[in-house]
Amino acid sequence: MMKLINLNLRSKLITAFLLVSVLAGGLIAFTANRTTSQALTDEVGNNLQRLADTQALAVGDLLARQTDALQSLSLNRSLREFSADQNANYLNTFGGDQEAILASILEIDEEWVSVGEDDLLIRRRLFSTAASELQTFRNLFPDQVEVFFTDEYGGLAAATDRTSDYYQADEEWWQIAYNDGEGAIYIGQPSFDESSQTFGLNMAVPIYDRERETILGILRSTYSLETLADLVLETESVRTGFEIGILLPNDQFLISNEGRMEAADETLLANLQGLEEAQYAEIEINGAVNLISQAQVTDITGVSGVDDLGWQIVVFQDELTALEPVNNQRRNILLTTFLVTIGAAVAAVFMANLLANPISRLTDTAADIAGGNLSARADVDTGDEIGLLSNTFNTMADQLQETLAGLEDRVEERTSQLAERSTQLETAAIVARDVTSVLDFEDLLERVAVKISESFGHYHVAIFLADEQDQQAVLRAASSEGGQKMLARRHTLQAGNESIIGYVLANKRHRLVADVNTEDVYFQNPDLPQTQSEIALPLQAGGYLLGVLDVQSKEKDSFSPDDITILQTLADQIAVAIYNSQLFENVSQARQEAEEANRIKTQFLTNMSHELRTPLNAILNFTGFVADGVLGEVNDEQVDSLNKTITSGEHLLSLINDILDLSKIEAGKMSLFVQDVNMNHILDSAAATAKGLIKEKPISLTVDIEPNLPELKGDKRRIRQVMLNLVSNAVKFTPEGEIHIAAGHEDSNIHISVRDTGIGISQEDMKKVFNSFEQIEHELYSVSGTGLGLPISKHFVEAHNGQMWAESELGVGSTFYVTFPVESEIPETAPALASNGYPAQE
Amino acid sequence: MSNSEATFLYVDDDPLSRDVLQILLHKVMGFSQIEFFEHSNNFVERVQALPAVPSIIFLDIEVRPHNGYEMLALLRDIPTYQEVPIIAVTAQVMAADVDKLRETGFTGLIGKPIDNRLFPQFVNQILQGQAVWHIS
Repeated sequence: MMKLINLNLRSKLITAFLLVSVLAGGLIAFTANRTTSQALTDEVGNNLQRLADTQALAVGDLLARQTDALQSLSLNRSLREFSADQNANYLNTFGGDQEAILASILEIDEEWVSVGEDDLLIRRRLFSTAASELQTFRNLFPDQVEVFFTDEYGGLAAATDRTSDYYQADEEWWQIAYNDGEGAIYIGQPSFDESSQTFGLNMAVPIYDRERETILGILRSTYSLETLADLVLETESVRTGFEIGILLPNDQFLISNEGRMEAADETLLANLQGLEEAQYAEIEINGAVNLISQAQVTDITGVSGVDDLGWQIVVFQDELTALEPVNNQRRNILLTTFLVTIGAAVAAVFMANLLANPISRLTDTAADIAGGNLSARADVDTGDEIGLLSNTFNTMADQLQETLAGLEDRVEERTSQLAERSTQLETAAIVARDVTSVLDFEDLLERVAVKISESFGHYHVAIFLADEQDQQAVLRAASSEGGQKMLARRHTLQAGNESIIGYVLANKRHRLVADVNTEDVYFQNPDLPQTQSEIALPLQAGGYLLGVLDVQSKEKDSFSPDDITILQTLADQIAVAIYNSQLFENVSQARQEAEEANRIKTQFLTNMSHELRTPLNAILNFTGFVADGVLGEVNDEQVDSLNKTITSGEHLLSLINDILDLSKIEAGKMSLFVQDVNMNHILDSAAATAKGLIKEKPISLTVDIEPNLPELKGDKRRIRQVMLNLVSNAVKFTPEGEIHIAAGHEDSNIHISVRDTGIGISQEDMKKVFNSFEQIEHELYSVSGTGLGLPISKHFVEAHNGQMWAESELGVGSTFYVTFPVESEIPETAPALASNGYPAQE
Repeated sequence: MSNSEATFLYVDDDPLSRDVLQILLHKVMGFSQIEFFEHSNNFVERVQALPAVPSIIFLDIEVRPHNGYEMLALLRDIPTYQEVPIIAVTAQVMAADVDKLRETGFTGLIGKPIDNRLFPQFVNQILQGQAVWHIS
């Protein structure tokens, strides 16, 4: 199957056409052959059957006519009288004594056998009037070769020829014909008569009296079958080429034309039994296939006794002969089919070529084009779809060729541009490398200027450095000879429109002079008389203008927009290099000092934390034990004092924690443990804390928190810390009055406010409250506070992308506002350790 | 093991800290089997001489000659001490310190100053096999 698939189109088409034509031809041939053969064979069979029927009727008719004739003879008066006389003689001689009569007849019989021809006994029987009638009958019917009749007792009455016996009543034919006095027609089966060398059969009929009541005697004849055979069987078979025989009830077969009788072939018998219904059969006899048919020999009158003979006419025809027309037909069909198939094959090859050739040419062309021959075109002129496809293909190929040709041009163009650009980019790369590797600053500028000059082919490249106020620029490196002279005289230019460098210095953007003769800004430098065009670019880094890169060319219009872009890139790199080296020179020491200070600060904070926590452990716990009565009874006054000690200790601890938080925030090391936060929980908890804190103060607390606030993403503990800070601040700075906690949400923001009627904050102080280590001065400064709570809280709120601010009036009260966005991307970080708890405890 | 049968070992060179823990475990919580080491000399021998493997071991970090981390390692080398909860009780509670405690395999941390109101709850949690990491 794979092989078929891999065949080329032509082979596939031929195969398909051939397959179809051979299949169709074969099918037609097969069907035609079958139906025609069957029809013809049936026809032959039918003919055989008809022949058998005809012959059976003819034989039956012939036999019937013979018996009719014999019966007619039996009515002859002479025969009657002769018989009657002889019967009367017996009666007269012996009376009714049957035995005596029989004895007498047997006596005569012995005499009959022994006497000569001339004996009266015989002569009386052969030459009587009755015998004469018999002779006449034989003359009329020559096939009735021997005729005689007996009296009623079987004794011979008259005969055409001398019979072998006188007494005939012991013979079968006699007894059947006599039929115990009832009478019947006898026709016997054929036998071979040696004397006449022919087949013959015996017929016998009774001779009745005139009233047809009494049998007077029996008339018998021997009928020769020679005529029957000649007339009916042999002639017919010779004429048509058939073989016809008569099958007898004893399975003997009379084949007339061979003049003999033989045992019927077993195969023939077996087939004849099944032939009752079918019209014909095919059998093999002696190695040859024959068609056979048969018919029962009957007499249409039905009274002659012929029907009782049980004869069958059997007709054969050799199949080769019989079916010759069939075979001829079959041969014709095969020949026709073969010719048609050959024709179809020729047509298939022709059609396949007709179809496949244009496609092949198209395929070859496509392969050519794929192989790089873009000018190849398909030469197909057919007006069909393939022709259309080829035209379309050619059009496409035209476009392809055109496109590729254009592309090649563009590629060439771009390649040269890129080559040039790559040189310049290489310069940029070298500059970048120099920037990092060259430590000496002046050396760096010198190398960069020379490198740019070489790569871009501009004769003068200079680098100016700006002073701190960007008021003037001093030449620090130059590539040309003129430039060296300028360096020697410390060439300096002022900011302003007097020169290109001054312009860049003043405006901080590049300035291009495409033609020096047309621009006022161009300042004719005596050291650089060849300059025709010039560009100056700012060297900017770290937000500062550090200097100017100046490039001058001996040709006009030397700087394309691409050149400007790449020069600006270079300028930026140079600027970074200058910036870094200046930082390196000026700032590195300060940085080291700052880092050291920072390290010392961290160490200090760590130590402070540790050194303070250990004694606080003892202070807070022992005080707590005493206050809780663990160590013995204490009175209320003592408990009060002890609790104040504990509060102070806890304040000290929160101070430590705040300082550590702040140092982490300042170091950028504070991280958030982001998870889902239920704001209702936090606010309820903060409100509960507030309720506890105001217990001993004349403050009323009102809470208006919207239920089911949306969840937000954030660090639960930090948000809680913010809320507690606001609530505790409110309590701390409100001697008496009211605290109101409110929360709600609008769109995607949660709003929280904590309002108090406390001491308030002045406009001036408001600027400081969110700054580190600034606690507002106030006469009520008895309240404790690190001053770090609000800055830390604000930091946490902003870390959640929220906002925190305050409104306040001195002496009236303050309101602190916090908003958190619900949908917010907060950087997920590792869980941070809090100063007052740990996530594992949450 | 009911709470009253629990046994404790606390190693800290600060006598006041030892007193605080003594009061918390004994007076406040009612435990009586509490062993105190004020240094870590012959640490393993002394641990093995204890009447029973402690239910919880509290270790200060700044102890000599073996500090808390070293004591932890020595304890974990003793086959019968591999599953004992070992809690750091220290004032060194900067983030880096806590990270180091976790990495070296401490079961938990109760930072100084100890919160005496929460401490009983922490001890019960530890006895029930929970981790406690707390800083006041």
